[in-house]
Amino acid sequence: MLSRRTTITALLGAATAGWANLRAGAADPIRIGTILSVSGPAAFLGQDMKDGAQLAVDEINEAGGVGGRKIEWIFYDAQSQTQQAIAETRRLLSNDGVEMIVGGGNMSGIALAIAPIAEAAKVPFVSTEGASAIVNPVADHHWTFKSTVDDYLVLQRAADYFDKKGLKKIALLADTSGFGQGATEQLKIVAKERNLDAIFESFAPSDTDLIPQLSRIRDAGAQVILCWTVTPAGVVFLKQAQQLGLDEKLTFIHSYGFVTGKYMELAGSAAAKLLLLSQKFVVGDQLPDSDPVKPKIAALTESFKRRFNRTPNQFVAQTYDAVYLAKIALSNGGSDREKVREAFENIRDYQCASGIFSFSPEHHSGLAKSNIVLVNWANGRFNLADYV
Amino acid sequence: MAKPSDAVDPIAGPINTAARDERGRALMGGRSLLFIFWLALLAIPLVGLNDYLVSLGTSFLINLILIAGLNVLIGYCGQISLGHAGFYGLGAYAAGILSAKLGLNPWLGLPVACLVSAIAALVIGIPALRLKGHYLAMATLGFNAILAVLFDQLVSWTGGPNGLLGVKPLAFGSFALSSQARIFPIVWLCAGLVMFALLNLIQSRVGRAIRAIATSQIAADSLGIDAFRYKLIVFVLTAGMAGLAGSLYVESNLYASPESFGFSSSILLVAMVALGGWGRYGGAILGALIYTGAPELLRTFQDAQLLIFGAGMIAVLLFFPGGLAGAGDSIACLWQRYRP
Amino acid sequence: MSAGSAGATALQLFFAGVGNGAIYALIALGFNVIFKSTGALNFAQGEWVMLGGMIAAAVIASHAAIWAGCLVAVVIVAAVGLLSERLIVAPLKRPAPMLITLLSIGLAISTKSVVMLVLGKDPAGYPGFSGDAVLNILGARVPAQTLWIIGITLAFIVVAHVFFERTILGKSLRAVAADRDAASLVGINVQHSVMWSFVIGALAGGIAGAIITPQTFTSYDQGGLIGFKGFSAAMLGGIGNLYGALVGGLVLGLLETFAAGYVSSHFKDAVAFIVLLIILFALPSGLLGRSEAERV
Repeated sequence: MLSRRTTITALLGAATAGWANLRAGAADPIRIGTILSVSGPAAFLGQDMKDGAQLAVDEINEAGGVGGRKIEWIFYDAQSQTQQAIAETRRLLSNDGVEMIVGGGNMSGIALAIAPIAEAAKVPFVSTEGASAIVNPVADHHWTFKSTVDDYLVLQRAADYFDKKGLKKIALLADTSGFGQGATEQLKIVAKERNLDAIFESFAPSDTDLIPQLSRIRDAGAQVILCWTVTPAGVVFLKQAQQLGLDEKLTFIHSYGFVTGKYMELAGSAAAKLLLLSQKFVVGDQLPDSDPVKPKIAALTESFKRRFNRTPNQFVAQTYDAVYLAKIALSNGGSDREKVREAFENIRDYQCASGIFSFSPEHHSGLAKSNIVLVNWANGRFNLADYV
Repeated sequence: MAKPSDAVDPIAGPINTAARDERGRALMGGRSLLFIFWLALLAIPLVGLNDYLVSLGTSFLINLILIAGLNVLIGYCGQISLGHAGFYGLGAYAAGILSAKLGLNPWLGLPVACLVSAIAALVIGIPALRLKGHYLAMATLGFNAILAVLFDQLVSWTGGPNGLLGVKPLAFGSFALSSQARIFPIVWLCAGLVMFALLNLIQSRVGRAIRAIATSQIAADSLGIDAFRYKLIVFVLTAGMAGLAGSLYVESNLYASPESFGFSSSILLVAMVALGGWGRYGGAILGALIYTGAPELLRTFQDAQLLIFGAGMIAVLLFFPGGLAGAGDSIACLWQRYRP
Repeated sequence: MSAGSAGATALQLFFAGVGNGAIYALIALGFNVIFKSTGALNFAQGEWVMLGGMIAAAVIASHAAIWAGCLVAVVIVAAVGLLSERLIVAPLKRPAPMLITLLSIGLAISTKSVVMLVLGKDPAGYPGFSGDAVLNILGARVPAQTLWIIGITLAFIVVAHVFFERTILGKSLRAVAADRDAASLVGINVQHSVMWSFVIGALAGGIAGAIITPQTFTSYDQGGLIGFKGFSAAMLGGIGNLYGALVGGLVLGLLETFAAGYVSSHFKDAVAFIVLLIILFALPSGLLGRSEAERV
């Protein structure tokens, strides 16, 4: 019963493919789909990420597109819900016929759900989310790539800082989201490798009271509290830790998901001694001139300000770079999806605003540890605190 | 002694029980109507031009099982459950864990999911149904909250907030039902069985008993109807159906995550029953259509979608308190009043 | 860990629990007032709390004093409560409790989305009434804001008590709650009473939002969760019972915090609800409610 439909579809497919070849692909747009959460709990990240992708798509189209073909950009709001994202992924793949998906809902949990669907459909998926599990093990994730730092590498970088300062007893206060859980798993590994004494506390992303966890951390004698969340609970942590007087002796460090001025302002005086692990983007102007990323950051900041009338943050850079990575793969691979996939794996030393990307068949996550720095918040902006 | 005119519909106010019985009798012919409608639904994978549209059809059928069961519980039985999504989730995780973590045959997941949810409903229902009205609401709400925490925190079993991955699809030997078009017939079959079962329930002795209980518990008591027993039967039955829906969900998505099974989903299901029309058999179908279709239709409105949905819900309930299925009656009333 | 610090930790948790509990009590109070006059469960209550915090933050952000911001927010939320009643209750010819409950769901969704569209998606907050001041009480470090929260909640409950016991309006609200028809027979305007109960419910919600935001921060989608907690507290204390709201709120707040502190912060919500269910099954009308349960 399906054969008639299949035959018609096959004929149509052959016809359009032939037609496309005849026209040398001059007029066909390349369809790229993006799923991000611009509403719901992850919304405040999502809007910046959407604008970053929008800027990249517009720039590429103004410069003539990819190999002469303009990008047709299709955007769906995941609303911070995995079920929505799954429905939207299906829509992008079957209804809208996209050649690539860029953006996994700006939540690690959503990206983890999209990956198998993209794998089954053999369509490249560029995740802009944090958890390393999104692209590991590579054998199960041929078609999935990640344009952000791995939490494993961020923690290694943190361990470098701990070694420098002689800190041994680390408390991880992570939320129970995919992002926080990813860090919990990776820290267990890193702590063993780097000989650190790690204790683990957790909280729900919507929690507004962390006194029980902080009391336990204090009683255990931790030297560092590493907080891993993107929600305002991270501000509650700072204020309550200050309330308990912990800021006098302990070092507080927040993850790269928390690097936004909005949170620093809400935290007020509690953010005075805070350090944050971060990509270089927010302190671009304070980097040494020898750093190749510096001019890229300046360029993106300039064009974003002109277009959207506000200063961009590193979330903007994440999606901006992801779209440009997609462009490279698409221009090298053409309309053959397998070739596009291989082209992705062959990207080496590509310099952009987030850092320097290098992919390989074994490594689908392109940023290295050297792209991470530690920053602090003073004088109404982020400042470089530790650079390697 | 309660008179027929004392009967009160929880939404539309005092009802004419004679008219309701008339509707009940009209349902007798409903069996063949349902059969024809159900056969027509089988056309979806043929007419559906792509995977995405067929997946909407699958979702519609799964949502129908949920909403139809809840409709019988609330609309016919007068009991409010605020934890229906919890039973749904219990079934989904039970079936999912069976295949993903224990490596058992995924077909086993369907009956196991039913059973697990039914037993859970028994455990909650026995103490809760002895109490009046909103105490079942509280018990089911608390139960749903506890389940939500368990789904989120028992990471080694459920995958935690990242969700359950690695669910094996249903298969006939080596033919895996891993595409939407392939799984559709199974979902269609199960949903059809559920709808027929519910129709039979409503028209049976049990159905008449529960409608009697809903209209007047005192009157039902005086007729010797054991209200507690019948309420429990319906509660357990509809929970089992929700469990079945859960197993179908996890087998068609090969994924489950805690956020689909929380308190807000339970509330939304209740709202859908109301929008469709309480205590009307066709109301569940309308409710499921809205639940499945509205997010897709509203998607183009981006940020405004929530507002449109909320405002729309208020408007529908203000103008059609009996839900959309009752719109016919409301319009007929207005016509009666204003015809020239 | 010495006995002294164990005691200090317990006291620390105690104050945190009472602070949270006071907020739950205030929200539960709002629920109860509306339940008493309409029989309906107002699912927009949580959104009113969120609205209080969001509006206060917006006003304070434009350089107003914190007190002024909170006052303005409370007044606006009370007005929203009034408008809500006009919108979803007044037009009904047959104000069935179930129908009003469902309409309140639609109202909650609409309120949330309007806030998102007008005030944005970013989280918001402002400093406490005494800034970041922290008091040391027998080894527990209690923020001044927690004491403000407890104080204001108690004050509100006292005022509510006086209102319902001593004023004509309050007594007429109670009359309507007890028996609508009898009340209208003695000349009480039932419609007006329902309107006032919505205003009071919104007032409770707005105040709760304004006083808790310095500690918890808020954003457009925080209403659902806090409304859920308040509703649970109302149920625990006996829905419709004003003092039950206080007891239910405190019990829930303390249960949560002690469960997080001594049992597990992972499962704290589950523990709180398991205890809730046990209490409910043992005492079906809640801790303070009159026995409404019928043994069937």
